Amino acid sequence: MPSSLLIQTGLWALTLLVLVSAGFVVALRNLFRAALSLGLVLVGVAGLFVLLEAEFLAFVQILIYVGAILTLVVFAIMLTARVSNPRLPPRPPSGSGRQRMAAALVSAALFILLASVTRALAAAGLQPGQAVSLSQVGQELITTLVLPFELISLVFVSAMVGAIAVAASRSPR
Amino acid sequence: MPALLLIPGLPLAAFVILILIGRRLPPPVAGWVSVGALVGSCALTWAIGGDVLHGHRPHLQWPWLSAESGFWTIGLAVDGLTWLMLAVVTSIGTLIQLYAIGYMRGDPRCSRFFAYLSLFCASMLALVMADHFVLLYAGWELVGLCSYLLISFWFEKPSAAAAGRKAFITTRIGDTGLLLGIMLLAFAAGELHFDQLDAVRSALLLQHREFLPTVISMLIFFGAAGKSAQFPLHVWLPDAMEGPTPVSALIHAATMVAAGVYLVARTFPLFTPQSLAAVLGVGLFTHLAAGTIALTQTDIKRVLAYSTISQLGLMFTALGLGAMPLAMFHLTTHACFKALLFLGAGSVIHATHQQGLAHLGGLFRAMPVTAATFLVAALAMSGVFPLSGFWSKDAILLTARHEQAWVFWALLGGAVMTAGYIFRLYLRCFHGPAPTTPTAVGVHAQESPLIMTLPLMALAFGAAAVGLLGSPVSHQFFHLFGLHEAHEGLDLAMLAVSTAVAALGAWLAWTVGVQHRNLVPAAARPAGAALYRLAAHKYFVDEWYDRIIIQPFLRTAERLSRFDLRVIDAAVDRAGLTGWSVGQLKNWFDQRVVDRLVNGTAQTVQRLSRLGRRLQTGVVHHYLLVLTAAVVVLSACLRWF
Amino acid sequence: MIPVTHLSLLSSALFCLGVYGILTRRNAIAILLSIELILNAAALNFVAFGRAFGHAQAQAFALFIIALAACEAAVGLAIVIGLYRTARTVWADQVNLLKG
Repeated sequence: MPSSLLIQTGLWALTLLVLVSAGFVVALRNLFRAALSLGLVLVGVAGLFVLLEAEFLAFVQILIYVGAILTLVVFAIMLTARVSNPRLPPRPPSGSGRQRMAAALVSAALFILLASVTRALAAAGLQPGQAVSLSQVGQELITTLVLPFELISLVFVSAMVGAIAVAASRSPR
Repeated sequence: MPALLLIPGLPLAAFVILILIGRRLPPPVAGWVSVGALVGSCALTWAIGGDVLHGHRPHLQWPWLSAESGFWTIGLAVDGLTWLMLAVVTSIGTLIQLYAIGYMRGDPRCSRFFAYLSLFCASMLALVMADHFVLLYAGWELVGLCSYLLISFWFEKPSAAAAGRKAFITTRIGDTGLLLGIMLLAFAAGELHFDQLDAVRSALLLQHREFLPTVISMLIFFGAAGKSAQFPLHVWLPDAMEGPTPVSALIHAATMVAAGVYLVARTFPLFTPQSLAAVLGVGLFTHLAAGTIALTQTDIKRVLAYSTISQLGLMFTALGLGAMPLAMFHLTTHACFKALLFLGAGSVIHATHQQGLAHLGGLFRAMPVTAATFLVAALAMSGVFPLSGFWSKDAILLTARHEQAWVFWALLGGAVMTAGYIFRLYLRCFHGPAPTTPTAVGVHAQESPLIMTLPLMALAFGAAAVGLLGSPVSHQFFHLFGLHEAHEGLDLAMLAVSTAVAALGAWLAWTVGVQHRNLVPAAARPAGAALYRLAAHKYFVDEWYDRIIIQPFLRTAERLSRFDLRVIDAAVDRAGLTGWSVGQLKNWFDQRVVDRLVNGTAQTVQRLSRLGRRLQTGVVHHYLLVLTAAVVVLSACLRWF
Repeated sequence: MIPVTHLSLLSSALFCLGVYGILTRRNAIAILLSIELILNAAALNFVAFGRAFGHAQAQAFALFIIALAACEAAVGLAIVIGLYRTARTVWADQVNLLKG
């Protein structure tokens, strides 16, 4: 077992990484950079999964999120990034300062709400429990959760079909 | 045992397929889907037949409703009685659907027709396999619905639509009785499973003497009488002949109308001597009355319809005598020969487009297969040795002779009539002089295609041979009901009597029905003519219903409408007049005072909505912001207050 | 040991950042990115509490969330591309077909 100090350091480092890069995701104007920051967030969360002894999940997170989803997002950015295209309307003036203020207020209120719930939990004195093995997760997936599991597959297939149908070119060739 | 589930499941699947995509299938394919599903059910039925014959009782149960007294279960069960009905429905149903492929060729709504037929088969199979009154009732209503849909299948004809409505409403009256009976039984005994009926009966007899079982069984019999077209609820069946002929054969001759007989047989333990006497009375009366009506009708399908009512009456007579297996035996043989008769009639109608006896005749040469198979069915129905009708009818006659002699003599009279009307039909259609009226096309008739004659031949074989299963030759049939003692052997006297009766009926049919010779002595002629008129008008039952129920209903409605006109409308008119004068006054007030108020309000609202309009920006972001804020506020309220 | 409250607070923060992003970003793809943040916050919360209570189902649900995120990304991006083709814009606040 790695020393407690190492874990604490890792935890804080990852927390910082996640929060800062999440801030970049929502704040950076350049979409491409925002997407890369999202990649950092995802890697950070994967690191937290490792700390929580959910190594498989961390692996899946890297493989699917960073490897597949993020790549897809970057592709989409590149496909639609022809902002300089003269046929496109210019970027609307960013006069939405009020909207931004209001959004910040609402988000902060939401955070206070959630934090208060967490405080209540801390007061209840939760003790960390047993680590969960991958085989247990697999067992759950094919027993108790088999119906949601199949449903997810169904959703997946229909999402793929729908995505292809929406994105397929309908222009006359 | 999933095979049990598949027996009604396959036709149900066919129904779903046909109702969803039937219109896109080419018409013959729709028919073959339906037939294929039923062939599957048929094969499964015969596959479990051996087990059932050896006393095995397949049973599937599911928990259904949880109540204080534990789970109510619902399920499918097969015993001898059920298996018999399954075999009849699937086997005859398959042949009739095969025939229907030929008969309905070219109909624009062919796939819809087969969808309904499949639904009918599925619900009929569920009805007979039900191990519980409620599931049986569900099947019971579903077959009623299918019957309605199929009778009025050609709903462009007003008469077909009316016939469907009449059938639905009349059987509905009977169904109400059945529902009341079921509710009473559930209330009194708390048990609706069929395998508990014996226990229920003894418990009810202990607690309530004979009164309650009699009431319950009479209510159930009322439902059965509605579905099986027994007097006084028989009026719908002759009109039901407006449907396509395969429907008449399958639903209104072989299977659905037999459901009433099946119901009484299934709930036989509940019937007390009193209610059995009522069953006997109704059955016998219907048997004889419908027989006389059948002698006078001039439409092929109507003759057969009254013949069906009459034969169902015979089955109820057997039930009333306490001979449940014999009633089921007659049901089986009747299903074979009556389906054959209807299909033969359908073949004639298909070929000539005529169904009045006056326009038919001498078709034997043109349609040899139809005529020969029709003859087999007619002989079987008249009870000629050794065809199927002989065995089932004679067994009932024998029982009657042992139990109540007067019933025996009445049944003999009925047998003469049976032979009479069926030979009258056969001889006039296929032998008598070909009609010379210009509308007659019978001379140029062609034999029907193979897909229609093949079922005819198969059914002819059945009509000839099925009876042997319940004869001294083979006692297999009654093993289904757990009766294993040997048959009494062939009663030669009965054989002679039966043949003589059939011959007498056939002779009368030839002399009176075809050669139009008047055998009634001159003195009795007026009375005879009156009787004939009575029978030809179906004992005026429809007219009586019209006078007793429908006309009073309409008259009451009319009186109410007059009350409406004279009293209520007058009051309304006066009120209106008063209102008008007041209105004149108010008009002035309105224009001067109210309008200004209203306009002012409108202007205020307009100003306010201009404000509101600013909120409705159409930008999703603004909506989202408001939504999120609302969620936060509401959650906070939940959290802290 | 890792205190569950720490992770809970972290995922709350991540969630709120995601909400802020959705409410402020106008580019549809950027909104999708914010949605990914929210989904990750949920997954992190699941795993943290699953670890605390020793529940194996929590990780299974985190897996489900990743699968759903994949679906959402695919469909969302397809919509963005469709939108770009028909409305010639990727600015979500210019899509005002809802405006009365």
